[in-house]
Amino acid sequence: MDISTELSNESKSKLQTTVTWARYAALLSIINLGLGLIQIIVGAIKNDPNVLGSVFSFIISGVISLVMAVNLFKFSNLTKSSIEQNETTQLTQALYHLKVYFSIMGVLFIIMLSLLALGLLIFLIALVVS
Amino acid sequence: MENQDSIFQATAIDTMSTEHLGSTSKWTRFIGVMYTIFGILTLSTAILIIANVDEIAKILMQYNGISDSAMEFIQGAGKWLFLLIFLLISIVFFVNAFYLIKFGNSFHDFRLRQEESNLTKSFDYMGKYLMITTILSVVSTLSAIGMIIFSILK
Repeated sequence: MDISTELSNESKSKLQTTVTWARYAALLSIINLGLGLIQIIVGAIKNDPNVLGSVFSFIISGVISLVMAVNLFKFSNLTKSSIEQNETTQLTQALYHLKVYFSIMGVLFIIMLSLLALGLLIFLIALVVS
Repeated sequence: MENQDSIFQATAIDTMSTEHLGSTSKWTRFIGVMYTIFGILTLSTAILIIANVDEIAKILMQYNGISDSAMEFIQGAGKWLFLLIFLLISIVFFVNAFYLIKFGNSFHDFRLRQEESNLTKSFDYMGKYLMITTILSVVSTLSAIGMIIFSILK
């Protein structure tokens, strides 16, 4: 059974505000990526010994940030056009991108927690052995 | 007929959208709980450090050799500055957690009761969460610019 809930004007207004902030957040995320790249270039010019490690961490965090920013952008653009054109399909696509954005964030938290648990386990083993 | 057409043309949350928002709300609740835990950990770490600041300063002095003026700063204004920074970080964690959990709960209520007002609330909470994310990104951008300028001038 397909149940649809029509959005009220208030919901649309709140959604439009959400979309505006989502766009700013995505834009700033990309700007921060660019600034990270500039930092690496400056480090390389100044012969920073840690530049190789920085490049490695930048590639990993850069790819994740870029994927998250793209999803936030798509959420923003699709929601905006769905409200303007009174179109439901685009809103469904937009909400899919919001889901992907938070899924990535959640998975990152799980990875971080696993690493923390692993670190704690190694620390405890080292403590027992010594 | 005309009335029916206008209903079909209106922006609506269909079954698929509800599914997407349902998954989103599960993740936001999880992330919200994580933020709450991090907030509590940050706050308790700060309190523990402040309570033992004299001992920590003495250990630092033994290993690194701190000047008397630096020691005075650590035990005086530095201690409170440190607490303020940690307090701000934990507040950011708690506020983020609040909006994410509220989004999840409002959407859960919408799913249960099919009241559109709950959907409005959930969009409102999501908007506020993204607003905080934007503000934090601005802070991050400014600090990145500062670090670049510092690296160039160094």
